[in-house]
Amino acid sequence: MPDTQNNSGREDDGAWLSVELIDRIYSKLRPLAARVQWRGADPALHPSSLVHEAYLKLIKSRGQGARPDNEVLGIFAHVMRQIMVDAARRNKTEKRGGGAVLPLNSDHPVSPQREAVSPEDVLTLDAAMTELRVENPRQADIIDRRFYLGMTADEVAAALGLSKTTVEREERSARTFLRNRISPGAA
Amino acid sequence: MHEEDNLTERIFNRDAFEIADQMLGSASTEPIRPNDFDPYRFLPDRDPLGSGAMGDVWLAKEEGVDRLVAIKLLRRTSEPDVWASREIKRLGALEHQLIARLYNHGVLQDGTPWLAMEYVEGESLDKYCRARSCSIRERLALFHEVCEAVQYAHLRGIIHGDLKPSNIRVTNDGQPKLLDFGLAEQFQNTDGTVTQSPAALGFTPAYASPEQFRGEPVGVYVDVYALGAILYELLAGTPLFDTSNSAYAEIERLQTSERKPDPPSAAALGSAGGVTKAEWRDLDAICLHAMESGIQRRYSSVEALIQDLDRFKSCEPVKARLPYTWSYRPAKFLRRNRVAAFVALIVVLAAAGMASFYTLRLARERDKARTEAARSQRIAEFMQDLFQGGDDEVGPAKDLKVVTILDKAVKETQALTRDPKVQADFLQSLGTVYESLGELDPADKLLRSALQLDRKIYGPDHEQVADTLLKTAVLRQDQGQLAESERLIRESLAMFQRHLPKNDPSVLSATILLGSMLEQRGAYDQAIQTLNQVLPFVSGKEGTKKGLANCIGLLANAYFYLGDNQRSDALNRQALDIDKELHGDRHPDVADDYVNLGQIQTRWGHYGEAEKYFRLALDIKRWWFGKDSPQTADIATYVGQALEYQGRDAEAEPLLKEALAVLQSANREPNTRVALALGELGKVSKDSGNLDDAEAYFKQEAETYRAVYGDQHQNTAIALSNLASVYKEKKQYARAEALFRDVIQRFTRVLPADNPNIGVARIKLGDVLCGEKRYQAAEGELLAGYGILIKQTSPQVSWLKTARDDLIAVYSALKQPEKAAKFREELAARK
Repeated sequence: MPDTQNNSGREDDGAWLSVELIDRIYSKLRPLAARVQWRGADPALHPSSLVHEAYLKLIKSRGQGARPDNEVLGIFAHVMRQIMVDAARRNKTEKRGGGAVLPLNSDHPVSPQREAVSPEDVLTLDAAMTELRVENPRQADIIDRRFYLGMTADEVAAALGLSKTTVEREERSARTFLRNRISPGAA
Repeated sequence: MHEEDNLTERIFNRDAFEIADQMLGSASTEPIRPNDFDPYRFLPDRDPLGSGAMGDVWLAKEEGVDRLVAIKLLRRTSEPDVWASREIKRLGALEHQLIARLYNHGVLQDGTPWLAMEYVEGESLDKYCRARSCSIRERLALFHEVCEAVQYAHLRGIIHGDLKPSNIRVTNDGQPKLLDFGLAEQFQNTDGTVTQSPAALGFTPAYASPEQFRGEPVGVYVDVYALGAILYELLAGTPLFDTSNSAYAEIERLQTSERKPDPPSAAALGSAGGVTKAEWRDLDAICLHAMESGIQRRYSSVEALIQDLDRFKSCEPVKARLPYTWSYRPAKFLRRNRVAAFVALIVVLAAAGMASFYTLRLARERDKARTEAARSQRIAEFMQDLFQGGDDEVGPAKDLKVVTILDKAVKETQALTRDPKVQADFLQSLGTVYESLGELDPADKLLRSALQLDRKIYGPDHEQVADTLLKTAVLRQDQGQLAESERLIRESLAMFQRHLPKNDPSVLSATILLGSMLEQRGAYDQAIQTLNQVLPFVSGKEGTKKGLANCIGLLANAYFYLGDNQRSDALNRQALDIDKELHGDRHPDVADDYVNLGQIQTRWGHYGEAEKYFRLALDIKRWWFGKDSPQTADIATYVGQALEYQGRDAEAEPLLKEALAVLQSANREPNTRVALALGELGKVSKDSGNLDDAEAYFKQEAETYRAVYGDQHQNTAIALSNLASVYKEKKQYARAEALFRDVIQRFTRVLPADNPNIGVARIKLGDVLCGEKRYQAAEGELLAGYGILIKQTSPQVSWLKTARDDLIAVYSALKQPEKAAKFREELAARK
């Protein structure tokens, strides 16, 4: 489990995360990234390459003092958003026509009756996230980890060197911000 | 609040991975069909043949020729010049039955590079084996062919870089064919560094070696590793890494720990398919040896891997089974008589202005030495483990097998009395195997029995007897009985000559062996005479290129040792041409020829030329062995030395330091290569005024030579002389004087009285005495040294100048102006 700071001054990024956490996210993210049809000129920017490279960086840094765990999580989240946006854009423009509703997975344990998410929803959230990052980077970091990477509040707290209550408070605040951006009338 | 209506809640209540999964699932995955371009027409209604990180492959018809081709469209648009390069043209020149041809290549208008390759119908290696449920032996046969094809390309300086089952197609008639040869390397930058991500490089993690993950330049060792991973998959029936899951955690574990992966037999249990337990152990060992995480511990070439597969097939002991630790120990080797004379020190005078000397051995011999050292070391460790029991990993039970197999074979052979010819043949083969394993005593016994039996069967004078005599001669070399070995070679050669035509391969190889023997013991004239006798046959149509290369190489060395630089240079150039023809431009043998040429240029004082040759050699060795290999570091030292001779200390220093670090970490025992690097660093430090560093380096150099050659050896004395010069620079005159006197005594004991080493040392001593204003004493030393050096032709002029300057100072101080004037005149005359 995460060590607290080591003696080398206080670096916010200094939290050491468990191998299992990173591996868990990586093993979920990588197959998704591999499915992206990459049209960019530079294969180095393929989501698979980005995820893979970030992971390698982490592997190599282990046992050498500096731990770019948080940086890697940031890249993972960035790639995750990129995957979702890329796929959503394709869905919008391709055969189904814009705004098709995705099928529900009815045996999802968390919220059996949740409504479908459309490609537009994904794009709208992404735009709002971009604004949040400008307004409040720390809150954007928290949403990145909590939502896009599916980390628990405890894990995010450890990763960012914050208390769990701070994470929860900031997350509520971020959600309010996003809600306002997405549907300003609802506030 | 209407939160349940709100988008944020809708999204946040779900798992992002699941959303992404669904988004991706309904997105179109159809790759876009490319447009035709001349002369290619893409076949309609066909999916791409394949898609990878590098691009998609489509089936097309080539008009005019009317053949099917696989067109690979690459995703990268930058560096289109790669596609016009010489390197890619070389790929087109790869013609091997088992390698898919590269017909053509170019860049489309939009910048997309394309390659037109031979279309191979068939299944990928893994699918093929699964579909036909191939037996282990069938799989091994396929794998063997794959290795041969890879080795073919390696000998032409081309590596695959991305070997994997899906890059190996098996045609319907069961022939494997390798696709995409050499493409991975094209994505490397010319300076050998890799700036692209691994995926952009096109390697496949499940078959990629640890050094590829680290982004290091690609070399043959990368293909060796990938072949190991493929062999694993063939044997185990399942890939080592399941890439769909936590593959990288697995690879990381293997990379960071030195633990070996589980052997393929562990995964294959139950489906043993006609392979015995003992055979599995051999196969496990071969596979894991190819997949060693450290380059140095892996098979050094595909050739070595093939040899082990061959041994497996013919039930000989497998090299991979010998417990291995880093075994590069030239020092150990130097004590072995076999090559002691081979590696006899040739000390030649080095750069003007330095009383420095360097040890020179031609690289070809040095590599023989290395092989020897590795072998004896491995054997020693093997024996040690055998007796000590060792741990579970390399325990005795497993390793004993090498010996038990042989012992069993010996027993069985002794029972073969009904068929004495076969028995004699077996005895000789077994003797040779033991000899090659370094087990000289059993080898001796077996060869003696073989010889006895041969004589009984064939009579005392027969080519079969001659053959066994020759094998025995090689064993005597191993045993350090050089005179006896030479006698046996001569006896064998004479016998061959009585029964065979003079151009028979047996006669030729016995003669070449005699030539190398003569060279070993320093009889260079005789060696040259002997080798010249067979040269016409060896270079004629009877001879093999390899034999010719050996013969010419030996001649080049003999002339070099005799000081005939001109002839040696010409012969080395010839050897270079042959080696290039044999192995392509980037083979270690070619590098060794460059080293030899560089050494000759050094002798001529053409340090810039020497540097060029050494750098050519360095590039090859780096490519072949990797940058952290001692083989590479050796050459880096030569480059550093050439730079130092040119006064380019600043460039030499980092190179030498890096080389020293590699050499020291590779090999804990003191050895001459480390000493050479230390000496060069000492000189560089002294020149740049870092006297403390210089002192430390020279002390280490002296210690190293002392450990390798002994206290009385002249190299030890040379290092001490360098050290004394540092004391002088530090104005510690008393210390310098004492050490120089010691050095002169040492030289006098081992060198002829007029050796320039002695001259230089006496002048240096005189110089120190001058510094102490002890002119009377200085005069004697200076005149003595001056007298020796004035007779030499070559480059100690700067020491002559020092002597003259000092003598002028001495005679001025001693108030003998006429003597001072004499040296002033000589000084002016020599200008």
